[in-house]
Amino acid sequence: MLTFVYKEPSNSKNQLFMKNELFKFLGLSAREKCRIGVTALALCIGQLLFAQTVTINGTVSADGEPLIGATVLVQGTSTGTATDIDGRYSLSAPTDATLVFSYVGYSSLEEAVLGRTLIDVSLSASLVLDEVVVVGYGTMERANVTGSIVTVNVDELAKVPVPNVVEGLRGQVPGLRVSRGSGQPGSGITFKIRGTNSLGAAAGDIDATNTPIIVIDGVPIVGGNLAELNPDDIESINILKDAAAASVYGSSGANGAVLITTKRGTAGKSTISVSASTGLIDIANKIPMMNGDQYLQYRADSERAVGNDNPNINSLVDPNEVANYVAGRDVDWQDQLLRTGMQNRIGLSVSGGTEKLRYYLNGDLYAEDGVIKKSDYDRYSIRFNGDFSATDWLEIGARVQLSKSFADETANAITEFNGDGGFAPFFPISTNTPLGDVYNADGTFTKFIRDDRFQINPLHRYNESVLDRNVTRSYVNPYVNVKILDGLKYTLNTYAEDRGEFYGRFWSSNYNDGTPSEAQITESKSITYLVDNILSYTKDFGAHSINATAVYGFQEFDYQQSNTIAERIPTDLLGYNAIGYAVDENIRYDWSRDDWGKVYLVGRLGYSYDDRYSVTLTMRRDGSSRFGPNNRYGTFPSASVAWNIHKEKFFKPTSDISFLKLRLSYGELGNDRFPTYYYRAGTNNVQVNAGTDPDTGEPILFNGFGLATNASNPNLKWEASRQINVGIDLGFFNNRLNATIDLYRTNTTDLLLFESIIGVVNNGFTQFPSNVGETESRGIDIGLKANVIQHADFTWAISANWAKDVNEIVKLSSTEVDSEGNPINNPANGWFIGKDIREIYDYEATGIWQLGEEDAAAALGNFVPGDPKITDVDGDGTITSDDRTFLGNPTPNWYGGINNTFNYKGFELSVLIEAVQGVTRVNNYIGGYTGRGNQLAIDYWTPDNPTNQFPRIGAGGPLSGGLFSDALKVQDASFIALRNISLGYRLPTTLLEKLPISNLSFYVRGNNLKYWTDYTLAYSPESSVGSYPITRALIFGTKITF
Amino acid sequence: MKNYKVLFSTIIMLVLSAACSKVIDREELDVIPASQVLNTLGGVEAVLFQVYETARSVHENNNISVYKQCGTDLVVNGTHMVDVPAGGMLGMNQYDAGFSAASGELNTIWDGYYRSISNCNLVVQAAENFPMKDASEAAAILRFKGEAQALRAYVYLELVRRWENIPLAVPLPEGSEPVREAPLADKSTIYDLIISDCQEAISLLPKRSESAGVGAPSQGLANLLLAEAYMDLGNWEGAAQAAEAIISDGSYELQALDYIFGVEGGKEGEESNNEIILSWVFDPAIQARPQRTVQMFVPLYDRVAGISRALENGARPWSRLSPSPYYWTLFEEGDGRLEAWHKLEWLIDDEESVLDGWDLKAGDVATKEYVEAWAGGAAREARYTEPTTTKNWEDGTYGRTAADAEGFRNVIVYRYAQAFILGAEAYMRSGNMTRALELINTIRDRAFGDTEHRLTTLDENILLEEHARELGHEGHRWATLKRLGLLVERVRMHNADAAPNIQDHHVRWPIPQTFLDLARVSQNPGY
Repeated sequence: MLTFVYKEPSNSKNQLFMKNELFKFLGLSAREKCRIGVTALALCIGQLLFAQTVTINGTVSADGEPLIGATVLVQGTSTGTATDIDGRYSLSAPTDATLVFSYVGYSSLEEAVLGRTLIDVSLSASLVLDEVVVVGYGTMERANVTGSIVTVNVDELAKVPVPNVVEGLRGQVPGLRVSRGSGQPGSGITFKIRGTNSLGAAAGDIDATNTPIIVIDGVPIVGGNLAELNPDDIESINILKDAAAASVYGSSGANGAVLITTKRGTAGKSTISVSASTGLIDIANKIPMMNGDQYLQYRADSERAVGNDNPNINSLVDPNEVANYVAGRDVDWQDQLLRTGMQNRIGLSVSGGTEKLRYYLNGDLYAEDGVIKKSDYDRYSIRFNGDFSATDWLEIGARVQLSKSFADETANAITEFNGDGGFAPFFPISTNTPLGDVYNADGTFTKFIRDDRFQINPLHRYNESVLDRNVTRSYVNPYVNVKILDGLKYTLNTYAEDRGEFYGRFWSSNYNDGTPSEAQITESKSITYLVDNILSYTKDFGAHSINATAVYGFQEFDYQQSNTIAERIPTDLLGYNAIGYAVDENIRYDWSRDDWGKVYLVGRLGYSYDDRYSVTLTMRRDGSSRFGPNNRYGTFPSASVAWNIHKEKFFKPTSDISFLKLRLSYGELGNDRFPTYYYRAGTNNVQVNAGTDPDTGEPILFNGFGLATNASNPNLKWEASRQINVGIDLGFFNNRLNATIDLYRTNTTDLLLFESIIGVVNNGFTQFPSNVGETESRGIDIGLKANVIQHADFTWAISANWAKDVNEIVKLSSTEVDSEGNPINNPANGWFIGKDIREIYDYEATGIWQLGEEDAAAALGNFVPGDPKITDVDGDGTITSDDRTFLGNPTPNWYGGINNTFNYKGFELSVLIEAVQGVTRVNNYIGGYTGRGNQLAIDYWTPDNPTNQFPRIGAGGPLSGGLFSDALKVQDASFIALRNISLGYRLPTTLLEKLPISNLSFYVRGNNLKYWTDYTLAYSPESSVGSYPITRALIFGTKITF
Repeated sequence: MKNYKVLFSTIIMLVLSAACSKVIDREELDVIPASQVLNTLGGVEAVLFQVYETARSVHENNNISVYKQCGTDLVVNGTHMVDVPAGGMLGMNQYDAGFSAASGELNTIWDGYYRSISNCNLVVQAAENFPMKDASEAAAILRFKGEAQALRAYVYLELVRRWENIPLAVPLPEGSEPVREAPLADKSTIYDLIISDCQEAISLLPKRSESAGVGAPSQGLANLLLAEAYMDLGNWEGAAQAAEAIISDGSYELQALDYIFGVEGGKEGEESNNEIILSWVFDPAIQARPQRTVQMFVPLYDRVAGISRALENGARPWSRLSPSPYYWTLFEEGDGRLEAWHKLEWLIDDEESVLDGWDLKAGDVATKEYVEAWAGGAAREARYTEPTTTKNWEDGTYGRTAADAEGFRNVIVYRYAQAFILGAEAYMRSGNMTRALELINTIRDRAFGDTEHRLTTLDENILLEEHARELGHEGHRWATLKRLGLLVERVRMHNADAAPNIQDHHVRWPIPQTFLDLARVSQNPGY
């Protein structure tokens, strides 16, 4: 039996830590931070119950034929087996257990053991995949679904060793594109369903504006950050892609929706399982920075390029750099700052219950030591889902989650040159001189690595700073179900969440030279409430069946943040905790609030006839505090139909096609992702020293409210998308091969834009928020699933997806029209009519002017050898701004993934490959190649090196700024990635018979293992300079079920 | 039983729905709506202070903070001017390609000034209709109106001088749809408004000695703006009269040379000295709004081996601008302004770091030869201890440390001495040479501390030289040269960085492209 030993706090920080056999067994060292949550759950193991087990045999057949490779599972456990070539199986199970028999393309069957030792079953073919699909505010049978909804295979998701659920979906869902621009532990990801519709002008972040909403157990999550959700708690994920499916989310449904349902207990024996994993994390790709020799060469070359033929080493670098060069000392700042990180994870869950009371309890710890020093992240989460059938008509229950994360983000403390395109936290990696000093003579870190003190030593800064970010998120989600009449049910779903974020920063008095110490504490709190009254009615009348839902609900959000910054803290010993000891004049305080509310009425009517024809009509009416007073309410209808052709009499049942369904939908959706109170003109706080009162002689500090620069627009409303979708679902060979193909077109109007207006004649207002733009997007999503080999000992399944979405701008603001009223471009924002929303419009560089080509170069403009050859697009013989052209965009031409899963006698291997093709980005890792900062080691042009790769360097060189600097950095960022590999082994049940263990498996998993791409001058094809490097992980783990 | 279920469901539904009515009718909790501002006295005052804040904000912006000093015969690029954006001070000093309609920095200045004007318009409009409750409110509202008019005159004068062809801002009634046209006004319309604003402000505003201090618009400011505007229009009598009004205002006194730009004693001390007519006041109590002029004229002395970064040495240096060689030729022996307002040499203070082979002790001057040897032939590095003006410098009075590239000293906009220089020119041009010499010699007497260095004749050139010595690097040179039609010629002669680029059309700034695009008006010629 496992034992746990608690040790009383022994250090001053009052931290509780534990040592235990389990951690040792798993190779985890007891960490300094407290991990009480997991331990508390571990105690539950003591409640292990043993039931008598028997060996059960039998056959599984269908239509009189044995089924090979059918799954037999003990319900509520992962104990199971597969049938052999004769359809026979044998497994051990408790006498009171229930067995679940399943086979692809057939309805699964449950049989209580009731002490039997021989159980033969016959499965009936289910041509309709009869799973239950979670739709907004209810569930629906797959057969009657008329919209485009993808149900995610949660088993495959579980094989991806990432803490964020949506990141786990990467490459697995047709039309869902997930990307990660930062490898920072605990950081968020970017994801979109069917690409980009909104220009994102209102919120200032195009990715955020086009992000789908995430709904957990019926509750749209505000902010949508899933970093605080444990992927193990997830029972199912359904992705609503088209308007018919997502229109029940009305004004926030335009980007689609991800519906997550958490696990709940099932009646039967209690299941206790422990899962643990540990592994290594490193960067996916190191970037090639210059070493000392290359750096000095570059400095000399950049001086020669500006005519200084014989540069003196003293003018190229600082005296200490000269000394380091002479002594042959080189610093690789990547090696200095990067390390091999670790990911540890342990979870304990207990679930089970009786027919009346069911429970699910799970505790989880995720700990990641990032690949950059001083960037660690620990997350603890506990979930309890309980359901109680109080009477035969009343069911109540609640889902409760508490999660807490502790992040050490000290690596992010370096911010001083941030902003304004200056340095981001990780700037030192890409600019610090390789000839700098890391250590002083006495072995301590230098403050500055160069004599001129223009480059800092991040290692010193790490030692002299603290940056903690802790997030506590807790919510309760109680519900009540009342069966009022046969088929009529009332559900009350309520939700209250309190999310608190603590941010503490400290710079010691030694952090910088001559600046006092500084502390900052920011505490923010988000409170969300939701109440949904759901009335649903399901009834079959012969061949007619009706499924109706009505919802009346509201959701409210309140945010508050207090921020304190103080300077000249009297001690460096207490970090930001000493903030209160600063004297008043050195303390600043800010407070900010935000809030919104939404009320809604939703109706959905589903009708189907003979399982052949289905129609769904929905209507949502939203009232939102975000909209202007004149447009406070919006209506969002949709209609969709489906036809199960294979059910028709004329359809030949002998055909290889076993399933054929057509779907057609149309709906209107909104996007309300814009700031609150955006519709009205605001004010600014004005604080001015107003001199001295001439009467009293007292100093006056004026503090009041003046006008802001945004005009009001009481007509402001949501962005409106109208989407039409045509889909076909196909099944072949008894549904061993399934395909789903969807085609869609979305027209988005009333795009929110800040129109620039002339402040001079508009009382100083220069921005007018308005609904004026228009975009169109079109696309195709294809999903394929195949059970290629299905044998008792060996199975091979493929799941593949492919998608393409294109978008274009149709119209911009009312002033962006020509004299005939036709829409015109807005080059300042990079928006072009008929082009992708993020189109890159720049010069096209095709090579480098070489020596001997002086005349041709000069003829085209002010070019000399070493300059880029710019395409003369308009052919007028000279390069002007009219020669800019469309070079591509970050929207992929297509993207997809393919997942192969092999099973052989308890071994399981999954390999997921993701491809994203036709992506063009401006690679801002490539610097300006002037001045004293390190640069990527690239093949740049000099008179002695007539390359065509990169142009000449130095001050005034084409990379250093000016017209062509971006054009030269445009690169193809397409990639193929070996996203995940998972190899697992499950011990045969026969080996476990004598142990109280019903299931034991081991696995090794890798994530982000390899990129094949031309975009190698970056940490990954999706990352940007200054962001945390992208990581890959190699994880070993085990799962034990009792 | 069935009834209980219905009743149960209905009750929950009703109880929970009762809360719904307030869900979407909300008022922002931490921001006052704009519609609540102009109907209170405090609101009108705030909108007025915003003018002050916005006009002042150019000095908070690293890329334009000393733009008024740029592009004249008295400055050249500092060694690190190249670090600013091409459209910022770099383009403004060099008149090269970055100095174009596309410059974001020019746009920032234009937008900020027009925003100030819009606020002035709103204050003037509000003052005309304000329901005053008592005499003290009436007095306050009239003073606000006067201040708004004086500030409007200040901003329009700056706009019309830099761009010449500018639109006239008119207030828009609340609730109107945005106006999409803004035609350019005739230059004379703008000057008419400046003059009437000044005249009205003179009647509404108190003298500086009765006002809230150097930051408050006063009669003196309105008179100075009037004098400036009259000079632009060639109305010498008007200008002389306005200058005399300042000279005899009673609020002002010429101060000791080393006192004028000092910060000792803080906002109530040297920064409130009686030479100042208007300062943009910065205050360390408002930490979020520092000014960024203090480091711009400091060369990179601290890179030189043996000289350390220290407050008395100029603290953190940015070296964006440097006095031109021509400027240094103007000072005669005995002119106290040279010592008082400049730092001419740097001393070794870190013996241990001195370059090998040089016997220099702490306190020794870092000679030109030494710095050149240290620079190893690099021309830029050899300039790291060139002399500079200290008119903008700031010590530790407001908590500035050697590492800070910003400060909280006031930025002096106009001072008393300018009235003498302006007056001297106005009298000279209107033929009253006696009074002209009297005025300019008052300034010279102070500079030399005696009466031995008085001028006996006066012409445009002598006057310009005195203007440079007295008001150099205070932001008045560009407009003066432009008024005299000498900008291009003098810049070509003395500003080596601009000489190859400056063209005749540069006497007018390029109208920002964003405005041109929206208003569809024509650009100034030459751009």
